[in-house]
Amino acid sequence: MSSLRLNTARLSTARLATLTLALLGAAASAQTTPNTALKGTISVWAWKDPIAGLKSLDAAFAKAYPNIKVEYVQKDPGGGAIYNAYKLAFSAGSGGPDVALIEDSHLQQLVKLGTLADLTSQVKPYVVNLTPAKLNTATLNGKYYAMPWDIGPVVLYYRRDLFKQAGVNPASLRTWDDYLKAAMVIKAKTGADMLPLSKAKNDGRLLETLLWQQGSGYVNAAGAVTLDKDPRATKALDLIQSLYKSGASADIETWTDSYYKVIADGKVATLPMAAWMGGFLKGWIAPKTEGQWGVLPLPAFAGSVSRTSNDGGSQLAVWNSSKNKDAAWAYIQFHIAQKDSALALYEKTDFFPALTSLYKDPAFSQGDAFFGGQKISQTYTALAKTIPAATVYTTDYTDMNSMLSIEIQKMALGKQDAAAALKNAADVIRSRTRRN
Amino acid sequence: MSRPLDLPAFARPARPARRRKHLWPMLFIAPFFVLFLVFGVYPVIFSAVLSFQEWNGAPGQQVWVGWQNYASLFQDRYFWSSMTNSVLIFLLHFPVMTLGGLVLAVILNENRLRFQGLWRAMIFLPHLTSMVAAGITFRLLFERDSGLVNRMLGGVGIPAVPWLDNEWWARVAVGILLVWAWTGYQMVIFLSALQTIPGEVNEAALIDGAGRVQVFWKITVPLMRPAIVFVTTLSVIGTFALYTEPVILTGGGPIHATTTPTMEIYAQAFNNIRYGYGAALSYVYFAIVVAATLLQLRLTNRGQG
Repeated sequence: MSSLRLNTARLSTARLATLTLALLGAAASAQTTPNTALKGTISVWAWKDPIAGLKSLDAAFAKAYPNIKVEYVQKDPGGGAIYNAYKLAFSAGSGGPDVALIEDSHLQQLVKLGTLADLTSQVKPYVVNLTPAKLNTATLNGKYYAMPWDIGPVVLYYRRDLFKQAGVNPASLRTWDDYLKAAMVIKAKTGADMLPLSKAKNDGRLLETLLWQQGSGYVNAAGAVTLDKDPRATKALDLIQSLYKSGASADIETWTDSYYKVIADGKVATLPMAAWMGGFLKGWIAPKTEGQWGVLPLPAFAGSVSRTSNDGGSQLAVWNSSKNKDAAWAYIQFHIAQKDSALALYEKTDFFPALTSLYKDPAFSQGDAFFGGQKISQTYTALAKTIPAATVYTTDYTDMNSMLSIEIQKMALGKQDAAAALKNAADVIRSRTRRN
Repeated sequence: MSRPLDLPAFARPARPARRRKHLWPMLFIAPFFVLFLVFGVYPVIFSAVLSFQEWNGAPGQQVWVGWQNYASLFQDRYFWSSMTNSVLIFLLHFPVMTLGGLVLAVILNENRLRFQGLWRAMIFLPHLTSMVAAGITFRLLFERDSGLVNRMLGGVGIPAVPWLDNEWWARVAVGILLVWAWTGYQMVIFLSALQTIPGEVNEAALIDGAGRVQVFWKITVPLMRPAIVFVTTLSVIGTFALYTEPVILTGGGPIHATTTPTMEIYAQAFNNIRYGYGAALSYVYFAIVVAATLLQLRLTNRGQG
């Protein structure tokens, strides 16, 4: 569901080798002096692609912490398998990990349950370099329970060739109204749809993105459901309704073969999605479309300046009943809180790091041939700092998302209007999650 | 029952010997009973207690809430719509499947048919296929734009059917998958039942001038009543317990139309970590299935009398 779930590693071997060598050299000069006295075996639970990334730093980690042995346990987040494993280990009181990788969308639930160790003092030095939006998902009663790894600043990926063919200047897409107008022009001139947007299989992710862009979510800061009371929610769903009615959206379910095909074949002109999508496009969805893609800030809602949102992201946490908490934190700190290894992980995995202090590195100002030489990391970093704070990820995220999706589907199939969809979603979420 | 003291005196010395005599058989059947106690009886009792509690999985943090879970589930429209979904999916696939299984069994029971064994094996084979693999395959087949089914329909001039994009068609799609997977099973049950019908009965009817179709409806079907009752009961229970097929094929959508009670229970218990509520849903679901089964047996028995 998030950046990490569908990712695959993609980087030229030569580049990776150079990086690893550089890293081995750099390990000695790491910002934090490793406490080599730490010892024990730690178990790291994560899924395929992050494990591949983390493993690429094995040699460097072993050099810094020779007495810590690391075991990786691969579990899939698809269908919630890894989260069920976490919950079962917690209920059983044993058999859990030492280091747990958790998507932001599922983090609050695990924090609230008490499965994770308090990392307040460990995370505190990095707080100045993290956005409040990101920190909130790992916070309970003023304490931090995880170290942010990646975030998903949302941008607008667009096809340079289709925009050119239609004579639309990408820079003119400042607002969502501009976007709708451009959609009609592009559809008329090229036949391509503006974006994939499923009706009967809508997964609610675009609406969440549009809510978050405006600093809104499922609930407000006090935890009360706001979907049917917040005019920003109405704006967001009205926009989706307009996209359906424009006839310029492709009714295709996300993360299916048809979805990959329309993207690879240039049948959709834009994708309003998080930074991790750039890595997917390049790596496995449309590797043959090099040079055809560009990146724009998200169009703004009328009367708002926000040009980005967030979708996905993940964090590493220490399991509360771990017997090697210090070694577990040392592992987390080494991999994602230190410049050298964090940069190497970004190169290896394309998970856009949450730590803003990394963005000054020259690696973030390089042009990317896949995006026509555009310096996309600069766009990401500029936007990452401006992600609005909003509560999309709650303890009941999975349920809220599926309840909202059902109501969007009903609206898309013409069974209700946007106002009714929001009202019904808010009502059912209130009763199921016992909120106000 | 008599108390041990009432036992005749001569019985007492015999007991240790008898115990030793039964030791080995007891040991041999023990694995089943141990597993059944641990994985069958214990969870049933545990969830009964759990259904009166609120529990998010934290060890020892169960909170007694009395009938609250049961009270709130009556307001839970998605639980009840999942029940309705199961009934609809049952009505959509059961008649086709049962009639199909019956007709196939009658045809394959015909000794003049060549390659009898081959046909039987082929028709039964889908039942042995992994439902996950079958679900994924059917999802590709039913794909709206590029699926084989719609392409074949297009070939004969029928417009594309939104198999997985419309509530009713999605239920039909689940039904088709079930027909594919279970018709062979039904056929096997019917075949064995058919073989208990003496050939003379059919012959007599034919000699008396009945047509083949008449023989089927007037002789074969009534004589196979027990087998039909059996598969109907199994199908009712099976359709309510449906899980893998809709999860893989439709994900429970669109608009919740193919979400079954077991999917709903799973989501509440494990995604929303409301184990107590999930347990209460399970018990109500169980009660409804038992009631439906008893009602069905009562109706079919009455018909027989």
